[in-house]
Amino acid sequence: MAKTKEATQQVNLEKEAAKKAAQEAKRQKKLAVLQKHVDVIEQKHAAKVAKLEAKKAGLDEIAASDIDHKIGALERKRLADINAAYEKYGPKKKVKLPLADKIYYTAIYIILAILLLVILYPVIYIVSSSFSSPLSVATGKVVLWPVDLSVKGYVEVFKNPDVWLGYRNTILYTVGGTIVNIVMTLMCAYPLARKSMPFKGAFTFLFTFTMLFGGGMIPTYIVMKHLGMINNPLIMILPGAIGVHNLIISRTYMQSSIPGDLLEAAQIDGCSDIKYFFSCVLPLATSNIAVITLYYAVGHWNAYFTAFIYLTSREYFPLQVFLREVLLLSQVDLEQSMEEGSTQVYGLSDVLKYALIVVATAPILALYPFVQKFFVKGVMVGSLKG
Amino acid sequence: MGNKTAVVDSLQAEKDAIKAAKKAKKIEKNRPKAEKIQAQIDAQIAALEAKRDAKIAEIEAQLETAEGKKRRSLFNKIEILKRDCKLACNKIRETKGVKVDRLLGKKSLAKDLKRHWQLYLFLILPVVWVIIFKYVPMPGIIIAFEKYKFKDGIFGSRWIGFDNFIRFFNDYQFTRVIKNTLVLSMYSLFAGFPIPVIFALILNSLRAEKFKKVTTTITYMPHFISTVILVGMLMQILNVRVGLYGTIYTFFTGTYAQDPLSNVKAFKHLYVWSGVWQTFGWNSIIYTAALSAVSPDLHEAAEIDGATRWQRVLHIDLPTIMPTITIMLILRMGKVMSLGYEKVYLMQNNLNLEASEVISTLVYKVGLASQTPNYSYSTSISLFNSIINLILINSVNWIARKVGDTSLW
Repeated sequence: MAKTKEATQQVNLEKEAAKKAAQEAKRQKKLAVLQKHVDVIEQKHAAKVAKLEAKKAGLDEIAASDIDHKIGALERKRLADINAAYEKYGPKKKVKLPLADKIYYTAIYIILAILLLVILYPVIYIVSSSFSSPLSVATGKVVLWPVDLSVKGYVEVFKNPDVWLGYRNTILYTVGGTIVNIVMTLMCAYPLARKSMPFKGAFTFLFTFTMLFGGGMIPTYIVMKHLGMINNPLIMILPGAIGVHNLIISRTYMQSSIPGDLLEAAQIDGCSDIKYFFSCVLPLATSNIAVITLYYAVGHWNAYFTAFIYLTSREYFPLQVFLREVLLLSQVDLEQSMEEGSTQVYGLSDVLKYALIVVATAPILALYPFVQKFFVKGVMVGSLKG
Repeated sequence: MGNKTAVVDSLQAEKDAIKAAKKAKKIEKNRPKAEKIQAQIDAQIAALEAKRDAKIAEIEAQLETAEGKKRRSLFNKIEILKRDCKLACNKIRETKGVKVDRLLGKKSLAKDLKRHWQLYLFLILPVVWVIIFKYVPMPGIIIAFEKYKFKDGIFGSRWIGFDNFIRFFNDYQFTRVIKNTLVLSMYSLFAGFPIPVIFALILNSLRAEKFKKVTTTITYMPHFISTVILVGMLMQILNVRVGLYGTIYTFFTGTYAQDPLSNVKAFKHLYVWSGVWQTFGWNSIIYTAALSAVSPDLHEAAEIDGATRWQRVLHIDLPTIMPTITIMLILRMGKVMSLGYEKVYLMQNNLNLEASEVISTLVYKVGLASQTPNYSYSTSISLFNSIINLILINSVNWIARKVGDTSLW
């Protein structure tokens, strides 16, 4: 008994030693990698410095001092690079977490994993279905990944003239509408952000009141009728030319992020209000402009109710109205495929729907990662204190 | 020649003198009024300062017994009080002081307007826009009290008083739409409000920046999906024949499932949870922004004192975003009766109408979608709704101001 215990202890010890040795080897390996990276940086640095030194030899004093400056900059860069290498490849400090924190982190990672799964699964399912063959979609074989890879749905989508028409109209409304939105919103936000303007409060109220109370659907419809906006593509652009919420975001941004001293300095230099707007306000408000551009563009891309109420000719319909016809009312033309048998057609109409969902959403989703970094900032300055 | 100019000059001087005298007289006349306003300003500032002093005295009394960290935070509080008071006083001085200056002739409104003409130039187009598209329709609400006919116009149609409203109150739809509107928006509020807050708190306690970024990118994404697409996705996934739900149901039971989209009982759950799916990430941005204001020093100090991460979330992060949560809750409560028609209308079908007809879809159906559109009736329903909304948001705001310190206006 004692012997076996000793033996197991021995074995354990050996195991531990082996583990330690493995760890040591790993550490050495990591250090070697780090050393390699540092060496590369040093070599490059030395080569650059040598080049500059060689240049310096035949030059006068002023030019030489210029090169000295360059060498100094290189030295700074070398140190920064080495630091970065240490951060990336160097030995990491391990912070030991208390048990309560370990439990907490495990819990939140589980919650996050569930949330991500819930968000992603429907999206993946739809994309996978759009790339599957009609038959496998009709028989419910698609679970996660595409089954019988095919692009029949996409072929069918792009064969449909309505999709092209809707796409063209939506792009026109989105681009035109967003340009009008941005111009009008900035034009309005700038004066309202200026402290000293008389009647500023009254003008602000004129706009914010419309957030609380409006004429409602029918009175607006009657006015639009009198303005000749029924079945007029301009209806997609003009009535929503300013979103009051975005206006407040912009105004607050201009008030809080552009220093007042700048205006005073510009005024002393004789800068007019118009010039100040173009040369100071606009360049300083780019992150705000990016955010409201995205908000407006998404709004236009996804708008369907205005079109639904006011537009009657199919030639003016935006994509969303056609999408409603196909996705929700299942009004879809599949004459070409009729002879292929009913299951085939049935599945085809579903694959077409999946493909259409992907085609209609992809452009706006492609746009948004570029603007994402501005979100928190844009929301922060525009929120609450309206 | 020279004589003539001299005469002109003297005339001009006389004119100027008269003008100046008039101005002086006017200023003299305005003086009591200006002094009154000045006195008001002084009184207000004095009141604010007295309030501040009382609070500071209170804190100072606490200071005598407090020690260490608490002492520091009390000092901080005093500083904050002083700063807030100064800001409030400055605001009063600025806004009301202008009036005094104007009355005393130190500044003139005409000159101020003239100096800012370029700003008004910027405002011309937006103001014209807001008047045409937002204010011109407003008088149109009087058709709610008329039997409106297009050929007679808004002001020529027959006046029938509150008949339309009485008709709506007696309509069998009345209780149904009010109930459905309230159920859908209250359910959305209870299910949809806490999740973004919790999500923001979780996200904030993550340390891996890359994972954080990926998570936010993915969870914000559904916000950009249009309502039509969202409802289309819902219909495809819940399809009883080819959809995911139908396939799973058939796999386990061997029979076809009942269509959940036509189910009266399922409607509210589908509506609310698809909404939560789409918006919880996006709605958390505002809390994430508020959380970035938490000072890292606080966390460091608490960590040294042995607080766990969970305790720090509860006692540092949550209190910091409490004002934001309050304001968002006020906003949501004020909007409880205004439920948009876009998504409800798209999810509606004849079978689930009992659970899915809400005020705004009824307005649309009665007014525009019907074979015999009734503009007046539709407008009276929507006017009734907007008046309730107006009352709701104002009273909720009033309560918030009375109970806590936060309010919208």
